[in-house]
Amino acid sequence: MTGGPHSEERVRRFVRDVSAHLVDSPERIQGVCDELTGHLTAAAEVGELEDALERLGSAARAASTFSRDVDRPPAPLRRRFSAAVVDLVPLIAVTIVGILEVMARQGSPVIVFPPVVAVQVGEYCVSPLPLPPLCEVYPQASLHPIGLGAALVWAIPVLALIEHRSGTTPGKRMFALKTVTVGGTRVSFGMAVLRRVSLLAGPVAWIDWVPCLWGDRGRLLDRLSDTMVVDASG
Amino acid sequence: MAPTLNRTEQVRRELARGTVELAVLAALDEERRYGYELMAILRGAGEGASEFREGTLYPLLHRLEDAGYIAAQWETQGRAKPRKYYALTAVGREHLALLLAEWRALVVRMDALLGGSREVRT
Repeated sequence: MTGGPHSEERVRRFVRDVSAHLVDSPERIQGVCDELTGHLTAAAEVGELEDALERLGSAARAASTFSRDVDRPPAPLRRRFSAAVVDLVPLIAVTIVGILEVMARQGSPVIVFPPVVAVQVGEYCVSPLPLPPLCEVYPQASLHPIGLGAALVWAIPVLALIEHRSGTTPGKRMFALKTVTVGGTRVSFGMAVLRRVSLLAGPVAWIDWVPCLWGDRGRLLDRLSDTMVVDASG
Repeated sequence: MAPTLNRTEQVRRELARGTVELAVLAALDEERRYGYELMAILRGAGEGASEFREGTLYPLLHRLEDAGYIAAQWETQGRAKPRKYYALTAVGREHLALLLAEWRALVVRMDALLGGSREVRT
């Protein structure tokens, strides 16, 4: 190879950076690495490595070029919703316990999902929702601070980390779904968190799903975080 | 007034959009080729072709492969690293014939249309 060891090293490093942006089976990723290495090696052999790298752009863009997820069909809404239910089992369980407790105390159920996150501090009720007085309207809000906290830690940062690392969540895996950027590449941890923060908004979180009612491909936060959930079966 | 370079590029890109698939399949009609080879052929194919990028080629190759029009094969052939060759399949050859026939008919129709109107204008 006329480019010498220097360009060989550059090719290797670029291919490694590109593969870090891909979430796919090890065989698929290896296939992309081999094809990209072959492409860049061929470019280097005729002294055109710089041009080829410039055309490919950043590692993320190059990853998008080789990703098979860009053209995958969007996830069917039913499967997406089912996956969300599986992923949110802890949150649902905490909510049910809260509902039962309120029912035992007041005799009538107050059903709110996702539960309102609020903390009773002395006589004040602190919540990210600007709708006072939350603790009276949603009595379950002040229940189970530890259970609710743990369920939310699972539902937001932990699931976001799993989604960032594997491109899917336990629920999504069960329904053969995958989360990728609109370019078909790995979702960053920050964006994976962003697409889940609606869970902190109590029942207001349902607004996030409204675009799906008229057949849009995703939630509001999918759009905001430049991500999409695709059908990974087939 | 001559159009700006930017606009020329834009027009070229728009006109080229529908023809890339035909160009790639036609390049594979003669013989099987690897990615960089296709890249060099298409970039050398005349004005506007220098706009052609990997970002266009590879998604197209993968789509054509999924559609069964081309098949990929890794080959070592006396090289240290294997190379991925793309070749036209029987279905791909049929598809190419269809595209070619449609393209030629389109060119004839457009020529007739443009030939007529150009005389009026100039």
